[in-house]
Amino acid sequence: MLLSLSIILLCGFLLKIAGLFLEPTLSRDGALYVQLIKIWSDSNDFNALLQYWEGYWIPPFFLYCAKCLMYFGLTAAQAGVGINLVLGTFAPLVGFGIAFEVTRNRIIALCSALLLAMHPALNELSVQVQRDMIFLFLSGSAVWSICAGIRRKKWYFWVLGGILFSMSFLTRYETAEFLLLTAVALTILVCTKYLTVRQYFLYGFYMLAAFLASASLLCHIMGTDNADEIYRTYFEQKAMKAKQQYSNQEEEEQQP
Amino acid sequence: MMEYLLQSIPRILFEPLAVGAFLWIITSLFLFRRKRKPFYWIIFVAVCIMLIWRLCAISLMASGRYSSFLIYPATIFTVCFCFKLNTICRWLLMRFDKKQIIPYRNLICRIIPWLFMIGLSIAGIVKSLNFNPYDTVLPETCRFYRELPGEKNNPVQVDADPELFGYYSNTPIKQISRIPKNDKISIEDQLRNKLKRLKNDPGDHYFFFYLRKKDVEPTAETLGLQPGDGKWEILKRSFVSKRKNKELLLARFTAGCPNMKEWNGPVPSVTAKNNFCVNGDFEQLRPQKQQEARKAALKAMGITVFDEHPEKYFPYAWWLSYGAWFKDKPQPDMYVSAKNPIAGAYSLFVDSTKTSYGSAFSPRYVYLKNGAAYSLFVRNEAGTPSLVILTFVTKGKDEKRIWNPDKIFCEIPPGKLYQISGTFPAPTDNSHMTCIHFTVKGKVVIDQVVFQQ
Repeated sequence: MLLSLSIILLCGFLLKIAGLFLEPTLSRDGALYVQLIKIWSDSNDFNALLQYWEGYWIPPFFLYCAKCLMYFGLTAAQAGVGINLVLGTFAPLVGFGIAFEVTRNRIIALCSALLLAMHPALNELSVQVQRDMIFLFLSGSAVWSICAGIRRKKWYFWVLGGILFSMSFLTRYETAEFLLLTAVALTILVCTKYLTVRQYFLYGFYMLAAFLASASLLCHIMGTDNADEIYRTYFEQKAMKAKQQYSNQEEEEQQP
Repeated sequence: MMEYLLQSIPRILFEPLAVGAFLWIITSLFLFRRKRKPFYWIIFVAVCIMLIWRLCAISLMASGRYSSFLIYPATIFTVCFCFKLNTICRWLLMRFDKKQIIPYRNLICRIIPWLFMIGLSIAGIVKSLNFNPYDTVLPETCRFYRELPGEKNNPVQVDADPELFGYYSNTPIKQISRIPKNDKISIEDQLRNKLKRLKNDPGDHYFFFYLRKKDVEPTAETLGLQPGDGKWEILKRSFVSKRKNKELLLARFTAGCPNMKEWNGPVPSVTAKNNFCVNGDFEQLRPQKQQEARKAALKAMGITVFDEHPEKYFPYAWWLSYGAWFKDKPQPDMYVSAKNPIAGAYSLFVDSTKTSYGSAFSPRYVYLKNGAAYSLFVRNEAGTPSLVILTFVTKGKDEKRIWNPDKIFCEIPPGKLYQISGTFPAPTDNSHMTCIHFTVKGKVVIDQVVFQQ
């Protein structure tokens, strides 16, 4: 099993490397991210990003990881691709984990890993400077953890799920949907008497507490504690522009 | 919505896997309809919720990448379906091959799932390695632009991907201007509008845009350039994909500045008889009472530029905008004065050097028929070039203003006197009357404004 998985991962990695050499051009978003990573790395201050891009709204975890890799001498583009290449290579492992937890069938899990290793969209995302691969890896790992938590009824899987969800949330805001989906899953499990109501609240609490604590800690480490500041700046600017436009129109109307 | 559901999502999921996942959902609904399988129902409900809210928020999620998480369930579903094919095949053979004509039934049923798995894996590898040979066109074109000789002072005009272009050409994003993207207006019309505005802006202007097969070839003729307007040349063009339906073009436009010329002789006097611009020579001042009332009104609005200079006057029949909404910031200085005028006793002095925005002013609303002629004299008083922008505001046949004005940019070199002249935009189906607004960025003296019909 381990050997088969290793071969699958290796094949996937080689396929991704081939893709990287065949199509090395960055995507549109990738060029923006590279610019943001460079600015953050040069200034070592998150506020520099807000100054560079007035409408900044992107969750910063991917940029932060790439920025950290730049300390090892990589360029911003290499760091961005590097993270995705590594996580993309191990994404089939996440697929294997989810499939195994859900079906309890090793062959199905292994075949899922094989298809994920050969998946063209995953291979493409793995060699681009995008937030998708890190999001897929982290949210996939979180889903695996939740599945394991449901199946094995161990608290630490729920805590791990919360931590992974928080990291995933700081790469893409869509992660919020998984919190809702977890609540739905727990409700279904209570309705089918797979879990008790006490377990429902306990597991939900573990996950939420881990999610909030981990998100706060990560924001503190990244220096983005003033995340509310991002939105305030963004909406203030929007409001100012609208006000200015309105004033211009008013002035025009007052013209003799 | 259907396009997103049937094109974007299958594309990101990989089409064969999307079909496999769909077939598994149908099959499993039939197979598990009476079974107590909480895990199955959790995943089923989760996938339904994920799909539904994505379809509801489709305006925010145009890209298929927002559905990338569905790759996991789609892959697992497809594998489940492939392995269920064994059972399905047995059931089909039992049902339709009761006489057992087909040989190796067991082997066929056992081998089919693996054949599907191998087929899907090969399809994945082939698609992953199916690369675009034109992938490097954009970096190469950007390198070509970067290596072009001469200074590149003007913003580069791009119709898409400014970040990407900025990254590969080492151009700061502030030096990149976007050609507005609109499905209703062709790239040719967008270029024509841009060129109309740039023909008075000196220096080389670079354009970087995509041309589709059906688009008209952008030549000087098709873009409506007159001989004096400037020089248009396409420097580099290449296809961007194997389909060869879209080309990436790099073009250069060198403005001819036909509306501006240096003036050395005496400035001709203006007779009010032929001039539709009331007080175009700025010789009439507002009456004393109105002067004081206007100054008091401005002071009440927090505009104090007139307090320090009592020799500054307001011209009759002109509207000067002092930027009341920017009262916390430095204000533009605009006044009529007899100090070193261009012609006659008074000229209009405009100074916006202390502000970050331009000073706007216009003659009392005079709408002229499109095609009328205009002329004015400008002298730059600043040490650096100043910009005079003429904005032509058109009026529709319903007598309402159309807010998509044509603009002419005139960069006035310091020291010398220039005449700016030309004609109002030609009438169109929608517009028939036009008036002019002026904006100054810098410090200039203006006089002898003439509109002739």
